[in-house]
Amino acid sequence: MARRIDSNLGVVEEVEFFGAPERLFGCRHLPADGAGRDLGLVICSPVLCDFGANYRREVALARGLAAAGVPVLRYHPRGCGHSDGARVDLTLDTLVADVATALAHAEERLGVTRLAVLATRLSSLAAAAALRDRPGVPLALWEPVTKPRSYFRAGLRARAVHRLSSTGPPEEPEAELARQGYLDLLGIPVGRALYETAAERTLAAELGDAPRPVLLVQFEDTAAVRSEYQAVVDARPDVTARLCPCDESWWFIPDRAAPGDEAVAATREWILAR
Amino acid sequence: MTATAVDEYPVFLPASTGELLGVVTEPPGRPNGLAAVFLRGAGWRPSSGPRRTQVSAARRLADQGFHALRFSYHGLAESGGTGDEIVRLDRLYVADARAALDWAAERDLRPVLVGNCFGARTALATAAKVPGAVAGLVLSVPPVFDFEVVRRRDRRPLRHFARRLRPSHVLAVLRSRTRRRALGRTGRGLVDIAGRKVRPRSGDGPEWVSRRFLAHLDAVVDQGIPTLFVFGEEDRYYEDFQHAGILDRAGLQASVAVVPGRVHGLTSVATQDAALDAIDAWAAATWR
Repeated sequence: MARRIDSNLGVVEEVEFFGAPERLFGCRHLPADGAGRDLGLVICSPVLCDFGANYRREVALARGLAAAGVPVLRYHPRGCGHSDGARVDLTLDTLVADVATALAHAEERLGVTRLAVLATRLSSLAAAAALRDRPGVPLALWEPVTKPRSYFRAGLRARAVHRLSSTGPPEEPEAELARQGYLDLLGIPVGRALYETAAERTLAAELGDAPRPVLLVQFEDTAAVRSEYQAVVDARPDVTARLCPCDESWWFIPDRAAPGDEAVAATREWILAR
Repeated sequence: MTATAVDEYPVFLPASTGELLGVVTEPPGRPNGLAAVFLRGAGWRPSSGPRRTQVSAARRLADQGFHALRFSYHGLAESGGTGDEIVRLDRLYVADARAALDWAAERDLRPVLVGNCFGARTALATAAKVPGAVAGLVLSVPPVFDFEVVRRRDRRPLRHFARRLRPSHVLAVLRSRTRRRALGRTGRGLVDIAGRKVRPRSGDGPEWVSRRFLAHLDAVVDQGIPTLFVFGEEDRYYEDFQHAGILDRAGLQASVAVVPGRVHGLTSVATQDAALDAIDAWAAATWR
């Protein structure tokens, strides 16, 4: 384990690999004075192109919460970042299993009695599924994917736009999967199992009926909640929707600071109120 | 035998810029005494690299006997320190790279710097500024001109600067730590320009080629450091590289691998595989 103390931020950061047989890369952000609250947060990073796009926001939130006394565990799912696993083997089920591994690790190492979870984009489905047998655990969702099919449709559209400026003939997803066993989504191989995630595995279905406080954060400079999110809000009395004016392109990552200070602040405030 | 996270551990590297989070890959077989040190491009993503390629490259080179170290620059990901809002090619992160060199030296490993874009320029500058410390260089899509400097210093109209003299703006700058730092950088840049001598351009290629890049390249050539340039056929930087005649200047110890697609951004799995294959083959041939 590698450890550093940041006295300016008021946090201690401990980085390690955990889990077996395949290992997950994780970072614990802890209050420097050791006087933590009884609630900790597990941050489930998003995957594919979203992984890098969201990274800075997750670190900022983790450091801000740790400085305020809330210990945080961030981790890379298998097939992403520094963790084990091939990119092409990533599925919704591996993501769910990784959330469970991270929750167990957090319970063991964060020194808290209660946990909350933050998940972004596709990882929201996995977090919701993993928490189904843990009613009451607060769940924050950043730009959650509500339907896996819509998510991949958007990815394919982004790829089509990208390919306008490069050579090579277009290829239908089915043909590509048959030819090479994966879909090349802007440089990330998406295996058939992930691409063909069952249509019924929607956010509403994965959330189930277990009551829990849910914060749903929409990253968009608009005054209205998107219809797909409004449906989630309407279906559950325990969902709070927040609009944060930061347009995130997600599939295309520009080399600039990820916007989203409002999302970080809103989530920090919500977690601290738990 | 293939390296996995079982062969890896995190480490914080002490640097003058902050404590940098690195991930070390130990070779699962016999070590060859070399350490592949990865320097990624600009941006805000972690040291797993663009499309996770630094993880793949580290584990593949570990299979050849290399130790490998990938780390995040100061102010990025889990690293400490304060990051820059704008990354500039006249302010390369040599201090960060030196922390990695120190890590390798403490373990009696000879570092091979593997840099991408901004990281390639940082790798080249580090090899030039720390003579004798670097065993090899892999430079993927190095820009051969200092575009941030050009954009920031030459294209802004005079009225832009006139507006900045308003008292309200001056007060706002003085109140903000970030803006005070930016002002300091600009001031140092202007002092640097004012202090430069006018040099003859003959023999230094086109006007737009970075003199800094050429000076670093010359220093690397003088040291005889084996160097691999990696480009994609569709990379605009490759056209610049060819126009500027860089390979001729880089001498006999340099070679270039050109793979299909774009290496800058690595937005195709086939291009990633081809680039990693080229690096693997070069490493195997250079240190067989």
